[in-house]
Amino acid sequence: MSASGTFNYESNKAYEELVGGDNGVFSSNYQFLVFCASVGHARGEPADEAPQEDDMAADGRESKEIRWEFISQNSELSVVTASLTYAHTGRPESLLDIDAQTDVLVKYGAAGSRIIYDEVVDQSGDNLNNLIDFIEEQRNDDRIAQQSGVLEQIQSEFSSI
Amino acid sequence: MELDTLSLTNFRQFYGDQELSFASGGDQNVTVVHGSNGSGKTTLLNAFTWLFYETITLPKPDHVASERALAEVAPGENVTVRGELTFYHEDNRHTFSREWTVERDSGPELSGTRVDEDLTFKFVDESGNTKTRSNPSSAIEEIMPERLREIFFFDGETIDKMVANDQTQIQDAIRNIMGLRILDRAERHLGHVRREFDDEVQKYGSKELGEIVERKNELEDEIQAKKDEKQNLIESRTEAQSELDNVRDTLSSRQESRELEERRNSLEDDLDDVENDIDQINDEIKELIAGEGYLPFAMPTIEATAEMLNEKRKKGEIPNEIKTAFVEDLLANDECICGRPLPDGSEPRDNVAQWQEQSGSSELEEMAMKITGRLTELADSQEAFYEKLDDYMERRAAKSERKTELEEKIDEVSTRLKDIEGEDIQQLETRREELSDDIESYTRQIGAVEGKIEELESELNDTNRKREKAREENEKSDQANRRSQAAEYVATQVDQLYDRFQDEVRQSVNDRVNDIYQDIMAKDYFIEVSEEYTLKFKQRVKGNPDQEVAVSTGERQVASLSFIAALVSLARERYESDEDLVYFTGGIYPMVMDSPFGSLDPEYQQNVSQMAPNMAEQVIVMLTDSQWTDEVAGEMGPKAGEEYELVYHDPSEEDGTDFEYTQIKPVVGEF
Repeated sequence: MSASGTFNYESNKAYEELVGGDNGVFSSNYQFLVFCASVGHARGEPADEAPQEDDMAADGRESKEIRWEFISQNSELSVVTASLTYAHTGRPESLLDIDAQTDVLVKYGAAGSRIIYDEVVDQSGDNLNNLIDFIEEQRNDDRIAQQSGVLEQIQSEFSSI
Repeated sequence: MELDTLSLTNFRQFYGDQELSFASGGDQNVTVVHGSNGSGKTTLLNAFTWLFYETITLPKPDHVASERALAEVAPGENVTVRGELTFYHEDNRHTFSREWTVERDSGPELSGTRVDEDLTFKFVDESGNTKTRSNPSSAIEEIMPERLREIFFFDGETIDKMVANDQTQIQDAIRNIMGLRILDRAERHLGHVRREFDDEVQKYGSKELGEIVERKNELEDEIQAKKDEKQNLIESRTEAQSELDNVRDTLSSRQESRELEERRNSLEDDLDDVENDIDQINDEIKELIAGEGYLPFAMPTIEATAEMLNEKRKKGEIPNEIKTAFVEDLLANDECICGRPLPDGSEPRDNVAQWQEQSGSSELEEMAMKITGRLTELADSQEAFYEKLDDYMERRAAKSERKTELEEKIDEVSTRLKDIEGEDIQQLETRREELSDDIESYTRQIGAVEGKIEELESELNDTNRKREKAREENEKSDQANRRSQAAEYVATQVDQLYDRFQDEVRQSVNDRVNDIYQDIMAKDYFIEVSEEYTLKFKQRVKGNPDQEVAVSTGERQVASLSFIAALVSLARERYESDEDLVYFTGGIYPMVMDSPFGSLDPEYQQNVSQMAPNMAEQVIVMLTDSQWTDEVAGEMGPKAGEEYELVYHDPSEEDGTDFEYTQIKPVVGEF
């Protein structure tokens, strides 16, 4: 991360289509970056290459800058980012390591935005409806119920400390 | 522009020499021209447009010379037709005159052919010297552009259409009257200058830079061509919309189709409501996904993290009773908690140092507690996310079903209209369908062209970046390149300035139109001058976006009058302002109105009559006797500084003449 508190992430046509404007779904790039990173992590591998500054790829990929504090000061998004980083590194120290967290956001974010471009934007039909379908495919009500129970118990055990 | 006098000679039915003086400024700034139907009110309005632009919107527009004057000469002989207007503009007195020499044609019909023309435009400068403008047409176009003629010389019977359709005219009017054209011209001029420098770059620069500049110029040409194409499509759509409105007005007015057309209007209103509801639900879905859409994907990871942290808790690593900072302090002080010294390399120091690996930082524990403290909330949020999504989808499906139902009913109305006996209604309905399809097609094409423009502009940005990167060592080229970039920079600044001013002016016009409209109509809805420069009638609905409402012809007419009055009054305010205004110079403009009260109730006629003289420096109004009602006369009478009557001579009722003609006579006493 730079001294000015920013880091570069890979933007592509999915950002153009889904962030801002009259037809966008997300109002800001940082919201969409965390969404992409969550998708990238859920689907598997991070992208190998970090974006190169000032290097516009032919498929619309480009490097853009974002302020870390947009994410770190958001209580939900900071928890998600820290969790993704811990799950990726396996090191509890990474929960406090800003560089590790931005690195995870950048790599899984790039992987996720490419998946979203392929499966949402580059499909026939309306982006919003495609995105709804994409999210619905992830749905597993039994798993959600089970997850709720597990998480509730962990929270309760921690609260007794 | 403050009109002073108008002289006419043998123009259409104004036989011989006729003259009017116009009232201006002060408490009596209204000139009233009375005339019965057919007496020449609209011809008088056309005298202005013929004089300025050679435009006549009356039947037989090529019949400019008075029939009576033509009848008085033999075939092959000439008649002089003349118009002369004197007016003040920017404190100087101007005289604009157009004179035609018309030769009487042979043949039974009284017609003539123009054989000579003289156009002159003179003004008296600050020193009192009379000067002649070398290009009268361009000069008058600068002062009063032709495309604004319908705004300043308007026919009350058709004025309501302006509100519905003519966004180009509205935008032009705002730009012209508020003095924004100067920025428009600056923008265009900078474009030409930059292109000249670019040509120099190509001529003297390296091959690579030359190619980049060439591509840049190509892209700019393509963008301009696409913008022109978009403008043409917008104009075609406006025309189609105007014709569609007329077709639908006709269907509403015909007894056989009225009921069905009204039903269709009502169904279309319902359809609009349903589509607005669907849009709103979609916005709510977007907000939900933007805020919490990551949860279904992130929750398995959050769960895995929680389990890993829980393992550490079970192992006693969280919370850890030995803190890293505590161990570090002991080592830094070289002394254990029991008082034993901890010199470097000693066994006790190594033992204490080992605690570092087992210790935990308080920050790390805080983070772990922060994550685990939100687990239930996150799990609940995920469940709530899907519940809300289900609810929105269900509501949207119901609305979509209703939408389909309404569309089917609208189709059914169309089918029934086509079944009505009588070719006319069937043709109107078929035409309505064609026009609706055309409008939809134009809208699609406009969207496609906009997409292409966006694409080209994106490529242009890339090309500009490449050009910045390409180093040019040749001095001439480098200089031209810098100049070109400077011109482009200035053009961008002017462009931004222009957009900002235009937006400010649009907002001022918007506010003023509403003030005037509310004074006249006192309705619970308002007018919006949209970003696309259309005038829309809207109503505020609590908790929902503003909704468009349907209005009557009279309401549209008042809206148009309010729009014109708003422009004229704002321009006058700007002109008279003491502020040092460079771009918003404004100006003085008259309001010349032919039968402005056509569809209005007496109360509104009175309100318009009260409003107009306060808004413009001068008002010229042409009315029939029946339009000169007590309400109108009560307001305008005391403000009338000049009053004329058009005296029509009808050959069927008068002896001594075989041809109709009109005389302009001052009204003496009360009309």
